[in-house]
Amino acid sequence: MRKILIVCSIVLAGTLSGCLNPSGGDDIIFDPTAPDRCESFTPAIRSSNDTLRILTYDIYTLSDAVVSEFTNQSGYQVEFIRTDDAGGILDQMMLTKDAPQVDLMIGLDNSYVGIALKNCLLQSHQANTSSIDASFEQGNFAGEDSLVPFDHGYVCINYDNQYVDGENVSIPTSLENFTEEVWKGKVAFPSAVTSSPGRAFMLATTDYFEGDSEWDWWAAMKANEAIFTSGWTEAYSVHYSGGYGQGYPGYIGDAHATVSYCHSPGVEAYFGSNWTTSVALDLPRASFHQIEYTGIVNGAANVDAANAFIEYLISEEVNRNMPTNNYMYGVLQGADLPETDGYRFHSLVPDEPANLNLAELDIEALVSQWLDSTS
Amino acid sequence: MTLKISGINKSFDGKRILAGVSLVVADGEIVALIGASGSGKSTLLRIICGLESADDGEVMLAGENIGEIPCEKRNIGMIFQSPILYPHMNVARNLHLGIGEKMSREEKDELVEQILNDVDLAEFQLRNVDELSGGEAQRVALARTLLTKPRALLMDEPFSALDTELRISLAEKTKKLLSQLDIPIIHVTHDVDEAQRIADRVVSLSEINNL
Amino acid sequence: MLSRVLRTLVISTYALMILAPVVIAIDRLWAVTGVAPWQAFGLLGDLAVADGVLLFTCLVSVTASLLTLALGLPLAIVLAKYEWKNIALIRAILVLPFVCPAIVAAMGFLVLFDAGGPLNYVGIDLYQQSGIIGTISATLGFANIGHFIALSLALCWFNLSLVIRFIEPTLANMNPDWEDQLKLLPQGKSLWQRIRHLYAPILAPGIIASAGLTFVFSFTSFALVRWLAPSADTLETLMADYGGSAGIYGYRIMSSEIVLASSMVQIVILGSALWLVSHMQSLHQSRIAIVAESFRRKQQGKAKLGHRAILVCGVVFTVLPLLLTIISSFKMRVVENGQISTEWTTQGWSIAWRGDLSYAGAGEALGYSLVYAALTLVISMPLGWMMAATIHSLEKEGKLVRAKIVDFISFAPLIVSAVMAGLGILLGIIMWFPELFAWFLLPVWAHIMMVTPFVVRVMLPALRSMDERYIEQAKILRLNQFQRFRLITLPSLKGPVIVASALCLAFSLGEFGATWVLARTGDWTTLSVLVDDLMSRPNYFPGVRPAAMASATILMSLTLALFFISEKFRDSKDTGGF
Repeated sequence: MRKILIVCSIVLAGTLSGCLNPSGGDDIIFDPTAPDRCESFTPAIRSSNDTLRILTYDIYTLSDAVVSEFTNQSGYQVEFIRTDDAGGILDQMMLTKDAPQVDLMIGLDNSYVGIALKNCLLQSHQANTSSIDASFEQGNFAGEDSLVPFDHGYVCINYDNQYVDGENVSIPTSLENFTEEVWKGKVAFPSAVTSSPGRAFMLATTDYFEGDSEWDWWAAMKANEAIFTSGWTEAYSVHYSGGYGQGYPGYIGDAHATVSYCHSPGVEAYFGSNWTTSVALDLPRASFHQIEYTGIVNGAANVDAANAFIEYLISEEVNRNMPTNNYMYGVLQGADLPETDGYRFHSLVPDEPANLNLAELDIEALVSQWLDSTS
Repeated sequence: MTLKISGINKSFDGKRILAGVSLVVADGEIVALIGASGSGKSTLLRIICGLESADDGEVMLAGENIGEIPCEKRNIGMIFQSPILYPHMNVARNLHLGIGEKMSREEKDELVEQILNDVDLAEFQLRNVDELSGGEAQRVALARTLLTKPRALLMDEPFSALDTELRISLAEKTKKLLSQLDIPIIHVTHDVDEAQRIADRVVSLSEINNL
Repeated sequence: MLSRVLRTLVISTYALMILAPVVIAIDRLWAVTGVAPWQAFGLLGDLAVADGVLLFTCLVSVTASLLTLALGLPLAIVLAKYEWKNIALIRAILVLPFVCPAIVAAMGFLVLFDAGGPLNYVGIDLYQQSGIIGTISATLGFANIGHFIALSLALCWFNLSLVIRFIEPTLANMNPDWEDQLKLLPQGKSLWQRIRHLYAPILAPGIIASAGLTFVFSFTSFALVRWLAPSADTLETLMADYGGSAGIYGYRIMSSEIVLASSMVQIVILGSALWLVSHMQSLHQSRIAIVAESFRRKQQGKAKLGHRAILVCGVVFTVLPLLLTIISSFKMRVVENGQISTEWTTQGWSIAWRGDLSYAGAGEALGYSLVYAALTLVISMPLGWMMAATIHSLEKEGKLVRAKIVDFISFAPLIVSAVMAGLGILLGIIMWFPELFAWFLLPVWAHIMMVTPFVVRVMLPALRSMDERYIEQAKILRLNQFQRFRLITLPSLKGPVIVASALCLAFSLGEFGATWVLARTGDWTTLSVLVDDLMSRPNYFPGVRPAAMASATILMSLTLALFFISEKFRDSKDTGGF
């Protein structure tokens, strides 16, 4: 028996002793600041069985029927690896960057793609993207040939009009209003660390407060007992009184304002027979124009299939359905929300979203600062 | 096929139970081994059949040292104080376990029928073992052991749990059955009357155990 | 008796499959953070996001343990001491939550605590915290006490079976003459004295073991916390939130620090708790042996109204969340002119079955769940059995300390949470076999890690209680090792084998934490992940929730069917605790 214990100890100690090396063993530590970083970075290409492997979050537009149609049209088989959100996609790509296991990513938004580009996680595509609206040729990442936008929307504060009307509260005209007594404990924020909309809104506040007092504002929100949740779902469906959460188990409804999409009230109306009490708050530079991208992974094994899927994703038949299937705006020329049941009527397109240089911002440092301010 | 035990020593947790035990049992001889409770009778039988190993000494059967042979390969039969019949099997299936040779189901059933007749349990094939009385169960166990065609037979107080009348009648039946076998037999008991009734020779463990 | 070579092989395989992923994960986190595991404990206090998490985790686990004892002990006592018609069925209902997938339990409790739900109807509003809960919250200054109570109650519901399984058979088999005799002695006149001199010494190990296990399972609970206390974090949910970005060089180091610190704290706390449980379980087994020698089940008489009330409450408490899950799969929210109402419909079922809102339909997910469960069974059952046999054979050889060490190793996967297990496999796979990253069978490994300890726990008492003479007799009958196994051991252990297999299948079907962390290929969605996926997507469309509940109902029905089959084969004297 002693031998058994010795063998076990050796096995475990052996594995452990491999780790008695905090420098990380064989792992290459990538330097994202090196100028020729992407030329010298050649990830191992996985052996492929000709199945297109896509890394994405739960994009509701990619139903079984939609994917089967792609297979029928192109002949390519498709396999998905799913994460929870855009952050999850980036995590998986970072984790496997030396030996990528997917061909195409769908779902990194403009608050995350900067890190993907810095780390050379994507490669140029050859898809025909001429159907995409010309407005996407401007702004952050517009010149990047490895990114193709496939949907977009604006993130801003939504408030419950029933509370504002019923309690005779003034409609907020600035973010500072939310630090007042009437909003004490009544605003829910998804975390900027673990939620994409949370991160997007945090970024918007850096423009709104011009990089000056945003952390003071966040600290003031914390002091005003704002509710912080890890994800959008908890903030919107559990805490927000103006959303669909009402009538569902687990609903608390203690927050009368939250961060969501500026078209969320439109979606509420669309599914609520043109009725909603939720309103998107239009404050200059307090909203974030979120653009979601697809891109071919650096080291992809099935590049042709990936290009074909990109074209399919921005095709008329798939992209036109974005508002009803994925609750986001499509990117095709003339794309808009449907008029049905007040979808478009209750949706807000902000006049002046935050203007940020996302390619240059050190977003992770901002997230850390946000965390410090709200803890 | 003489069974010869010589110089058997055995201790448990530092306590000596058997010391230099030697015994010879000839073919066809029935030796009754008597001794008080806890004197080491059962331990000696378990050493002979290989369920325990001796610290020292030899167990010879037909001139072969069988001390290192695993229990299941010694081909020594043993009947325990309380019969070990498997509750998930009926009488016939319990008896099938004793047939080592390859044969058809019908041939096995025939053998079973025959041996059950020998122990006065005809028609008991399909009985569940929990429906048997103590005496019946012990006879099934004996029948199963006989089916194994053992090279030697050990009986560890097989009748001690039965009432006096049954014990006497069963001992006599057993004696009749065993006398037909030409193998060494050791019958352990603490009942001197039973020992004399069944055995050709009575040996007291205390006399051969050099404690 | 297992040979030394086989034992070595069994322990090594177990250690490699179960412990290696965790060692790999810790190794990687150490390398990424530069913080040695033994220095990581302090990190938890320094990390802002982890503020108060350890305290909340401990508090909710201790509360759940005490609550489980408070509700479980009276149930075990009345069940053991009085005559009940259909006692097997009643016992099966009371212990059923333990095999119920956590995600299903979470759904059931969400409905139970819902506004307009049964608890709300009697004035207990755990979520919006009005009425008495609001008063308690304000008095104690505990912001989300409703969530805390909800979570504690659900954890108690989940672990009630542990108390019943540990205590009821012991109590039922205790000779009533013992108490009668004590009543006649000067030191046994009062009930308290009898508890002190008779019941406490016999029952205490079982009580402590069941409370300890409740603490462990509560500490690592994931799905219940995720859904019932969305505003709070436990170490497990914290690790799940940050686990995705942990272990990556030069990226979100804070995530790695959180996971490293949380897992180290978890290992120490759960390791201590399980060491105590392991010790108490063997003490409990020895108490059982004394009791079993003395008597066999004999009730003391007919139950009075109070006893019946206790049992009825227990049964209602057990069944209600499950019933509510089924009911809510037929209810859909309707908004008309601003009025929210519900309508009865089977739409949720058809949506779930067709997979209109998910990558896979419920039928497809059910198939995948069954494949995972079957593969888990094929590996876990023999591995767990062999591990139990190893412990048992060491015990028989009198090598008690070694047996205890191996016994403790068998518990090891419970020290590591499901989330950490998933993370370990993920990091290990990426290090060695990146091409297996998206392999659809990857979650099976995690399932094996989480399920095998339960096989050991079921098989060990069964092996201990098996009559050794059966094997001895078989040897004398010249049956070889394989024949002995096939003809004697396997049929003799049929009951425990079926129970362990059913537990294996049920736990694998309901496994959520590790599967959730591991890469999930779209083509291989399990039922538990499907429920979570549906619940997590924006529920604007009212069909989403009933579809989630319908999927949960399918999962629940399958698990419970397995459970009831296994209960038929369970020995009434089974005291293994699971």
